[in-house]
Amino acid sequence: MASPQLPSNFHIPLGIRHIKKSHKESIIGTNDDAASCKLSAVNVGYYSDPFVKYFVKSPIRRQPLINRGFFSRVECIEQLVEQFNGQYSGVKKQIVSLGCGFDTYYFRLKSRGTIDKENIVYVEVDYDQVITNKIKIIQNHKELQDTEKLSSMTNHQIIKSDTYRLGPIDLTNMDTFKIFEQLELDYNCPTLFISECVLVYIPTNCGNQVIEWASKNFTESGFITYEQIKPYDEFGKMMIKNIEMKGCPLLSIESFPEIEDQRKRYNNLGWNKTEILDMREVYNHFINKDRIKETNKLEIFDEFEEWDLIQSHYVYVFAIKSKNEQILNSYHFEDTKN
Amino acid sequence: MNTSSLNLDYCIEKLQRGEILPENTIKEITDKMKELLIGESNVQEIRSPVTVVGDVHGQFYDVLEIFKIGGQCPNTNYLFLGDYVDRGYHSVETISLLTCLKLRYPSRITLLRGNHESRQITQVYGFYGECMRKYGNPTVWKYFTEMFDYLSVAAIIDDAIYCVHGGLSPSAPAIDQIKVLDRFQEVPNEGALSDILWSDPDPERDGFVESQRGAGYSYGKDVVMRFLHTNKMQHIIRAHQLCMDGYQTLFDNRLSTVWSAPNYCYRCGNMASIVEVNEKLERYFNTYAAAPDSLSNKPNLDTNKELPDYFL
Repeated sequence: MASPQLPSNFHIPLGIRHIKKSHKESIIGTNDDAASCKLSAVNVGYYSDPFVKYFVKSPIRRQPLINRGFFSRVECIEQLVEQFNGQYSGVKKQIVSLGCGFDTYYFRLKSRGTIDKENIVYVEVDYDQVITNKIKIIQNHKELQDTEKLSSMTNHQIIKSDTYRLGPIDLTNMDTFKIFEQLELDYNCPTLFISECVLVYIPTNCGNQVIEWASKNFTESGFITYEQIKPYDEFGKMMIKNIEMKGCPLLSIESFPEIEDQRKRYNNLGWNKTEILDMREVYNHFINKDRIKETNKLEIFDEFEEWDLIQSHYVYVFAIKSKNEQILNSYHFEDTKN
Repeated sequence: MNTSSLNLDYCIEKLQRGEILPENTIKEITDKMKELLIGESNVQEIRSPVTVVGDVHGQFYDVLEIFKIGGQCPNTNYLFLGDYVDRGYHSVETISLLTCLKLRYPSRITLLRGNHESRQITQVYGFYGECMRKYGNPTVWKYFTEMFDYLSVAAIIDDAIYCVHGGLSPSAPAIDQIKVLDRFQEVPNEGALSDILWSDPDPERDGFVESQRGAGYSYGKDVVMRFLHTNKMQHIIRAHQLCMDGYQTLFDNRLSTVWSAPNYCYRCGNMASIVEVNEKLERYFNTYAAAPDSLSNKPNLDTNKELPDYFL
């Protein structure tokens, strides 16, 4: 977007700043990283995803800690989405993936029959470059297409079918949220937002605007965020430095360094209740024990101290909004650690 | 040692510059090392003063730093507790240098086996991949992993301090039982040889409990005290577990863990240490952070990733 002519003494408020092109490209690069790591975990056998391979140019086998970490990340979302679906069974629902990247969750849910059974419209938004690339890949692989989608693709910028919508957005610019009108987002049905390592890459104020927009516009909703915390201990300091060297600094992590800071963020921005677990707690308490058992022996794992360190620096935040007190209290997430 | 055309001083100098040795030289040094190690006991007896080093995991520039901090070999005696390879980007340089130093100064440096000196685990955690990238084929990995089968598994300093990579085994409460094990094999999945390389102390639980690592056990204070009493030892020094401060002491200072890979995996932000044991058997933990070369050293084209992985 073009910079306006500013007087020399104009002070750009903290958090509202242009994200440089190379910075944006590095953020987009994290998407390739995530897809590659997910494929690695899938190939070792941690979970099933016949679709992610279409989005990865050169498969690399990652270290066991990364495989297991991505497994725990994917599995957590599965279980939270299942609970959300259960709260609103029988009615039309939306899942909105913010900064979706090359995520394949829609295709997995569709192939299992869940999209149709649960009456879900799945909406994905990300930077225009990412969306254009994703559409290209979908167009090149019939395995990623349903019969209905083939006929519904409008152009290289958007996909709009009965159950799947895809379009460009810039989460730092609220003007671009008008994409949701084009994608026919329904403001009157239960909607679950998912943002996996997304908001942490944009300035705090911008992230706040997104979180508040979601709570303001939807009455029955959830907001799932997966991101880093604890920037101040030795591991955290090294993490900040290493990720900064990758070109995609964690812009908001210092505003919400601890779990309680994260909770306050969502509660202050219109969400009724916010539950949070760090990834160690997710793995040890929330994830289905059978899944843990199945995956434990897939490969040699000799990284326990590191596992504790890295997993305690990531959280899943699950913010909930509902007029129904019963719904607010019947999720099982944070209580699983007791 | 038989005379040969192998010039160990030249090899050491080359390695210290960060240059790897050619494949046929690796064959020579690993063959000679096996000949040397056959003559060593499962439990090596060494005399103080000696500096004990924990896991280094291919962090070559930090190993060079250890020699700067602790003194160059052979001016300082060294006992390494294993885990020379995997995780870091320079396992080849690390194990090559330590092998050459051992051949050059056999009575000044002792190398024990860690759980990563094994064929299975090095195929998952980096050493195999690094050998493939640096040599184009797995031959060097084969030479080194065969050599690993010959490494001693424990050491005793002045009949008083027992040193091993992981710790204790329920199958071998007496050191004499360790002495008669057949160590010349791949690290097995269970049994005493596996346990002593994989086990961890547990300050919260007594007795032996199966380890979550899938091999070895956790052992409590009662086990340690009984072992020290039975074997007339004063102290145990081991490695195997990451310590953020570089070391940890447990059980009324009767057991120490020494960890010698600073900023482990270029990710953990931890300190490291070496234990300087003097003639009075006093133990001084010399702590240090990552070497400047280590931090800024960008692995070149022979690694497929420049920076450590996170969940992004």
